[in-house]
Amino acid sequence: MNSYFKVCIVDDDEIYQYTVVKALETIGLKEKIQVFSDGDEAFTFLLDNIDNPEALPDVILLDINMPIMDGFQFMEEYVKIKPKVGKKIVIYMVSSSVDSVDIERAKSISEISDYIIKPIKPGELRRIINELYEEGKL
Amino acid sequence: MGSLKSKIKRKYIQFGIAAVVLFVVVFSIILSQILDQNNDAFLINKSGKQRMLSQNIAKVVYAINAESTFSERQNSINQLKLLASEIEASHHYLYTKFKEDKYRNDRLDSLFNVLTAYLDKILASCESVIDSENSENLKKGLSAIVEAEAPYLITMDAIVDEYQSIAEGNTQRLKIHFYILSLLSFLLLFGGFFYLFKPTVRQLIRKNEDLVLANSELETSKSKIKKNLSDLETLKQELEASNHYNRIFIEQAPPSLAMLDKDMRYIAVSKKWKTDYKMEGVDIIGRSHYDIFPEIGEDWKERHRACLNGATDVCDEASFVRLDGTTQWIFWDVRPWYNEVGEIGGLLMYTGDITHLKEQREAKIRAEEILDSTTKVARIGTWELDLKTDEYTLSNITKEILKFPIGYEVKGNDSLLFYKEGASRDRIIKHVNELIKTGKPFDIEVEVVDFQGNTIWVRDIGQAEFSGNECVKIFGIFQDISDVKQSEAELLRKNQLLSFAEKISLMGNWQWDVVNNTVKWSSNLYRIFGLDESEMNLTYETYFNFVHPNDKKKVTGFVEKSIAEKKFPNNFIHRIVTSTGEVKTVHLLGEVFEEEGAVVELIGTCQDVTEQRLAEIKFRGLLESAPDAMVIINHKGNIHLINKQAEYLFGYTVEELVDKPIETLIPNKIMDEFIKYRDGFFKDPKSIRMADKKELIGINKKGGEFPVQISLSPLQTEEGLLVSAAIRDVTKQKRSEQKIINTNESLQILTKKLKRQNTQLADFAHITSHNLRAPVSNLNSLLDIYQNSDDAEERVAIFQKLEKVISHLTLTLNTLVEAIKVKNEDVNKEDVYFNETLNKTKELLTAQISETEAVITSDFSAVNKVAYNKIYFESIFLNLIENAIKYKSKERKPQIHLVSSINEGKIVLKVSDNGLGIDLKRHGHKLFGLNKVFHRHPDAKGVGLFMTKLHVESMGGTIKAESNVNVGTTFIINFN
Repeated sequence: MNSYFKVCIVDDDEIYQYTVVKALETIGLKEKIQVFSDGDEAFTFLLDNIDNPEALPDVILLDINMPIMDGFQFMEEYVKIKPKVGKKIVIYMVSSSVDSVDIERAKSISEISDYIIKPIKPGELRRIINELYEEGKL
Repeated sequence: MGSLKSKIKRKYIQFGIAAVVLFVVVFSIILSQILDQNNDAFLINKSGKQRMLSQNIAKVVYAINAESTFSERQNSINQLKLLASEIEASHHYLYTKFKEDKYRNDRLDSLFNVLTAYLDKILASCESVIDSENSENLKKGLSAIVEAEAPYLITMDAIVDEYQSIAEGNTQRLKIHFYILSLLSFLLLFGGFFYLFKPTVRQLIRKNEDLVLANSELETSKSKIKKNLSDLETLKQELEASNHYNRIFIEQAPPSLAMLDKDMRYIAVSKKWKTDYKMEGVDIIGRSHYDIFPEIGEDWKERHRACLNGATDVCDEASFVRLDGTTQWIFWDVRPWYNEVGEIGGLLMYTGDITHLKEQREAKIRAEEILDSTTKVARIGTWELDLKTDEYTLSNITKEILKFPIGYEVKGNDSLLFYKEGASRDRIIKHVNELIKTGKPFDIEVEVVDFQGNTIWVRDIGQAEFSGNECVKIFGIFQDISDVKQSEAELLRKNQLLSFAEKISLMGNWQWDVVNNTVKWSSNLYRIFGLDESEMNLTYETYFNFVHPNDKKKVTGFVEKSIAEKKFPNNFIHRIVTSTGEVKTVHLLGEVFEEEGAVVELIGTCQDVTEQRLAEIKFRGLLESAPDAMVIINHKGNIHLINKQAEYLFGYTVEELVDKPIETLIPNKIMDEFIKYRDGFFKDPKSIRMADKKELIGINKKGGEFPVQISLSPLQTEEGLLVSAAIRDVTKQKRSEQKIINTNESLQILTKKLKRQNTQLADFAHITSHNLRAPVSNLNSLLDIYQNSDDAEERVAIFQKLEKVISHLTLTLNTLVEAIKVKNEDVNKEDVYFNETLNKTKELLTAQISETEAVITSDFSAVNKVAYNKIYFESIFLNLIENAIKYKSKERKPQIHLVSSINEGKIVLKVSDNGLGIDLKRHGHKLFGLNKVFHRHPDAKGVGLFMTKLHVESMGGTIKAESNVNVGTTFIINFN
């Protein structure tokens, strides 16, 4: 596993945070995990480090339902600053919602790579990371 | 007089002043004299005391001499000391007084000198007695005192005497002064009296003189009056005597005579006068002529005045309009009468009432005038032919009728030429010849041609005058009767026209003389009844025989009724059977004539209405066959005709409705509408349909209302324009319509309900997919980790997290259960109060409120009560206020304001705060969602607003929010 591969979790559910961190740990990404409780916090971090690609994550696991700024609102803001971001960030929308409305909406946003329904199994997480890794490397 | 009065007044004042001055002077003089008297008495007294003192001194000196003991002597000496000093002081006083005294005389002066000398001696001796120690000196002193004492006493006595004589003199003077002053006062009063009362007295005297003078004058005039009275009496007697004769003469005079005095008062009148002027029984003697005849005008009065000055007024005829409005025609001769001394004593009036004569004369003139104008109007002239001279005389009217030029004369034979050639001329010649021959008079109507060539109809009456057997003169009357002829022709023509009209309208006329039971028919009536006109003797029975057997009873009733009520009904229609056996329907109209309350004649028309009747029967058949109720209305809005259906529909019979206003069938509340339609229809009669959209209400006899639909259409008839109204009872239609509407409404309600339920289902789908799946997925993940974990510590941590997830899941499920309950529950409503609920909420939130120092204000003045579920209502208050406190701004103390209002009949509550606010653009859509939070608040769970919205909506209301970030939020609840 590549050691400088950074994963960012944006979710207000601490249990979820815990489980994902655990899952990522099992695939060896312990030190490169960032956790934000809502979209606003994550977006503020992106803005602060927009010129610092080293600090920016490679993957964002974005929840939909969050206080202050939810997943979709985060995406709206992100799309605006995306050209300035000096790094290709892969965004996955991760939600417990099986509501087709949510799924369709997420799919319609091109910046979102995929919609993952919670819970994320460690195997699935691993597959995603691997795919990214391969693509990134290739 | 005025000056005298003021003079008297002035004098009173002067006298008063003088009296006061005199009193003051007298008082002061008397007072000073009395004071002098007093002074004198005092001096005498003092002198007497001096004598006593000197004697006392002598006594004391003797006592001293006689005292044996030293102390006693010393005592006496002291006494002597006192006495000496006293006598010295007294003497000094007396002496000073004497020196000041105005009565000082030489005698007193010398006496005082002697006295002083003796006193000095006494005093010196006393001093030596007092000072001496030895008895020798004492004795010497004593003897000296004794020695001096006697003369002192004598001198003192002399002085007292002198003073007394002075006092006496003074008293005497006072007396004299008093007398003098008394005398002066008396004199002054006396003078004042004269001074004051003289003018008053003088005035009185003058008045008295006047009175005496007046009295004497009165006496004189009295005697004069007496004399005059006696003269008057004599005169009166004389006058009465002379007047008496006059009066008797006048009263007895046959003509209408009146004697008046110079003041136009009646002295005597004749009996004729009284009758002429209708004054019988009225006592007019002594009364003024003008009072008796107030109608006399100023012009006549002027004439009377002239007569009183000697003129004579004669008038042959004059009208005298009396007060009662009648006119009397009178003549008069008014002249003055002279008394024995040749002076005018008054007037004599000789008048007469010629009204009767005057009227006769006027009547004659009037009769002549009338006659004259009548002949003119009737255009009757005369003619006369003297057969001997062949002189033909025509009256002016005759000439006028023939339009003779002025001055034109005609000879007898030529006169025949005026008669129109042919029948007229032949006829006159024949009659004139016969008249001359036989004397048989003629009265013929012939045509003449006047001078201007016009043909005129004249009535010519001729008579003859015979002398023996020979006719000498024929004469007659010549009357222009062209107008009459013309009228006759006109009448004839009209009669023909009437006859024609009757023929056309199948109508005839009749006259029934009820008294004689004779009947006259017009030709056409004969024709209608199929009776030959030669049948002359018509009676009521002739007519009655033609009446259809079935209608005979009806006709008898009609006729009896019209004679009884003296009024002919206008709906007298019956059938007849003509002489040819044909059945006809006739309509009779008539007029009843009465004389002295009894019916004498009936006249009228009779129309053959068989055709109309048939048409009407056809029309009726048509009307009855109509499926709708038909009501025919005339232009007055009254019902003319209805069909059976209308009878059934409205429950009235035809008789009950005919001639009744249509309003009977259409209730008032929609009458205006109908009248508008109806009037508009009569003005512009095209078939219109009423109430295409509006609902009209009919009313039946029992007062029951029912919806109707009315179509109006015009009906041109002989009676003018009528309107036929087809009325259809649309109760059933209305009912089914209402049913459809009701069904539709309930469908709409159902749809609404389904929609709402759909939304709710969608909400639940959302909730389950988000809020339930999240903890479940967490559980799965945690379980995975738990299974893969070997670390016991980690496992414990995971277990704790599991617990947390489970509790969260439980909470969510509980909320959902509650929400489902809210949605399904049928909640009861009760009256809840805003202020009470707010107070309760405040109590529940006491800790938070005091901690945050929140200020909660409210205004429930608009509405304070709503029928609502109490638990929901309290929950709404609690959630909104708790939120307002929870999401307060860090910079501000929370201020929460609640206000209730009524908006479009709905109760609205607004809860405003000054807290953090929410970005509604961003979060508005999920504001009331479950577990939606917008602030990083540790207690934010996203349940409160979710439940609030559920509560509000379950009760049929709405909730919405308005907010500005960092300014505040307002929740608006519409309770419905």
